[in-house]
Amino acid sequence: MALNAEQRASRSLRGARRLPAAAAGADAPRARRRAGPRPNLLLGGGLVGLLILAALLAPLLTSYAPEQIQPAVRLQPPSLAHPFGTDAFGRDLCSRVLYGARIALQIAILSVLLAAVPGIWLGLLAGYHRGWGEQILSRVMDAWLAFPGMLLAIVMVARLGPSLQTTVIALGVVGIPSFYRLARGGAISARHALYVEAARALGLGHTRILLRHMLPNLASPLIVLLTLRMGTMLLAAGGLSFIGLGAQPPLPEWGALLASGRDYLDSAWWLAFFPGLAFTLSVMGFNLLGDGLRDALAPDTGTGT
Amino acid sequence: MLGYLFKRLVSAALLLVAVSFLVFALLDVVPGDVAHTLVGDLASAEQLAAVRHELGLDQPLLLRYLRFAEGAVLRGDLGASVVSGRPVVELLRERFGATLQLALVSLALALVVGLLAGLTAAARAGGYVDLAVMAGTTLGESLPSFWVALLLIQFFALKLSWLPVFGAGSLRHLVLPALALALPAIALIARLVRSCLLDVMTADFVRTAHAKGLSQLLVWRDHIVRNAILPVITLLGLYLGHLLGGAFIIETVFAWPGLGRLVVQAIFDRDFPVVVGAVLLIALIYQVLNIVVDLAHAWLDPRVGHEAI
Repeated sequence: MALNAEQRASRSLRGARRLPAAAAGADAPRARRRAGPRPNLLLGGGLVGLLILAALLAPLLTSYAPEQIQPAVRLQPPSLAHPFGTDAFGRDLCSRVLYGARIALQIAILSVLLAAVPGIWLGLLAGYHRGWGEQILSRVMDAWLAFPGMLLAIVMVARLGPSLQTTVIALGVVGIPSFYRLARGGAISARHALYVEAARALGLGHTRILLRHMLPNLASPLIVLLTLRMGTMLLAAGGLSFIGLGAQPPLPEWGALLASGRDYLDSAWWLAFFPGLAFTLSVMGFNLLGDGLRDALAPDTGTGT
Repeated sequence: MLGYLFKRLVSAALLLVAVSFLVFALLDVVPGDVAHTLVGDLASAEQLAAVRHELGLDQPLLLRYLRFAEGAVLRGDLGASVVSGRPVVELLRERFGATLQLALVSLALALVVGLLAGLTAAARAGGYVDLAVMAGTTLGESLPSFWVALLLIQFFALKLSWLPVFGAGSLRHLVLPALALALPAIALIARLVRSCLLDVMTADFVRTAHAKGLSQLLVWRDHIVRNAILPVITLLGLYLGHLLGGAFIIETVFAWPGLGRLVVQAIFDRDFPVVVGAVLLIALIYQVLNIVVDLAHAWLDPRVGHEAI
């Protein structure tokens, strides 16, 4: 069983390495001694909070529109008027990065929801009902996982044409199996739990048992995976945009901003620097928040070791 | 063991069939199809139909897929590039070498650095070195590789002019892309090595080994490392697959003439025979590596039996 967990933890490089049950115990036997505030949770929560604030308050934080072209101030280095400098069209980079936070948040939330909702639902159904339906579904999901995710996303982009929507859809589809596996595993272990038996004895319907009783009890590892996945989705979407297969200019998506900063590496360093920084801090925020939530929500994995 | 291998091979073959059909079907009805791209916007309907006929595009999907599969299996023929007219297999062979070279160099780099970092961190768990390594892995996992690539170019290629900005051909061209690819892998490996070692170091059988008076060296060699190495091997195998089939972005940034760049370019050119061929090759590599990793597991860990999968 432990071995299986290890395999699951390392099998998929697309984030499943951090499936809570597997990695948590191993990661922190010593760190756990430290009591008091959890640095991961605080720092991660802070960074994600910052991202949300930037996305919400973008219009208040900057006096320029992200697409506002000012030929007079082309390629200005950072200054008081333009804290992150301006790009080749004289657009304010600070404004573009701030509005980019909105896009980043949309990508993270939408693509993860697109992966999580069907993945979790199918996983719960499969784990609860078992039988041949589960067999078939699990085989399909295994095959899905045995195939490089980015490649699948790229093929879908090739089919649907590069755009932000396509990227989100492709990444969502690619992300389904990991949620399926986690939800299925949880449902299998919970289907004979006392509270499920009790709900069944009360004569509740299957759907109600799954959604109102099982799901809340299985929520913590799923929430952890959701959070960690937001970081990986952001990275993947940025990568696609960066090579021109994702969000298209003039959208201020961070990967696309980095791509356009690429041509000015030796003359205007700020064009690639600030979007990259925003990118890194956001991904780090989701990663730390996920790790912190895992430690906070699953105390049982720590106390045993 | 043989039966297990046979089962794995059959399921891998089935998966390849499914994947090839899926990709074939997905790329089939492209808006503005290949024939259109070839003859241009001004062509008449008859010209378009002629080109479609020549390419076999006027036949049903299943028939075309079967013909493609027949060629692929019997003659190793994956069709020809729409853009250059060259056989896809030839293109793949050309590009695979470059990708393999880059993947192996960056994997070796990641393994050495990641292993060292993970070992030192685990040996001094809770200390400053450990803290630094953990902070480093957190950062390494959050840095977008394409930003790292830009920073490397900016510093080593443009500012110091030590290394070429992009291209291939010499060892010097290899350094920056290998570094950019290795960095996330270093973080993953270091973290995994550390956590596996910590797990094993506190296990009962290690305490027993210490208690019965074995030397440090023997405890580490026969008990700790042997048990901690399995997940690392899994990770290495899968990461190699990732490097061979997933280095699109880094290969594109550095204009490295590998498989990833071939696929991206082919997608831009709507050169779908090349996309299908490359996807198949990458899926094949993934399957082979998966099987090799599982066999290595079974070989190194007698507990893994046939029922494991």
